[in-house]
Amino acid sequence: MRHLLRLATVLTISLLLEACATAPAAPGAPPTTLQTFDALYASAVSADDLVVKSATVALSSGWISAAQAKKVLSITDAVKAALDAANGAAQLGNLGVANGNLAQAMGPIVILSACLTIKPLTVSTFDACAAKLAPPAVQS
Amino acid sequence: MTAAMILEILTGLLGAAPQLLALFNQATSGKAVAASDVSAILSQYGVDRAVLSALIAQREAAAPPSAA
Repeated sequence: MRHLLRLATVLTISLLLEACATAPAAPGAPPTTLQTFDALYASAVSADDLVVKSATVALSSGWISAAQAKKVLSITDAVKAALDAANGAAQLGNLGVANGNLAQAMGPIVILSACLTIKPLTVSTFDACAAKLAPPAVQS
Repeated sequence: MTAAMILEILTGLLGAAPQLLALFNQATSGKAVAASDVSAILSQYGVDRAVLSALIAQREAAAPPSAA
């Protein structure tokens, strides 16, 4: 399970970073890097939001505890801060910092997504899955 | 790495989330996202965050956490 999570995290981050440099599929004016990053930023915030929604369902169904939901909320807030920092850096043309923060943010999202969709989802299975979960370190 | 591979991974990780998958597809195709769409996504995050926060408070009020 841990190996799968690590593999999924690495793969997703690789794909996201590669997507930053993806060329446009259609002919015509190429999108700017910023436009491409906007799409990544929007999709990453959506993924973060999906984690929040999943945690809400899990808490209201009694599958996770209030303390666990609190931990999810603190991580998703930290992820959102990292994504905002990434977007801010992209606006300034600092793609190194932007990609670094994006990569930092995606790890916890992927892990939380996996932990909230684990079967069966219970207080103990979530605890075991999210034991080593840490908020992203934001670069500036 | 193709957009189809990204979609497959996200489908497995997050389940069916059409809006998210469409956005990732858009990101990998190099298309821009409208500023209004980004604003809507940010607003939605705020709304959903508030819902979870309120539910946590409600649960904690109903069953206060034991003293550590």
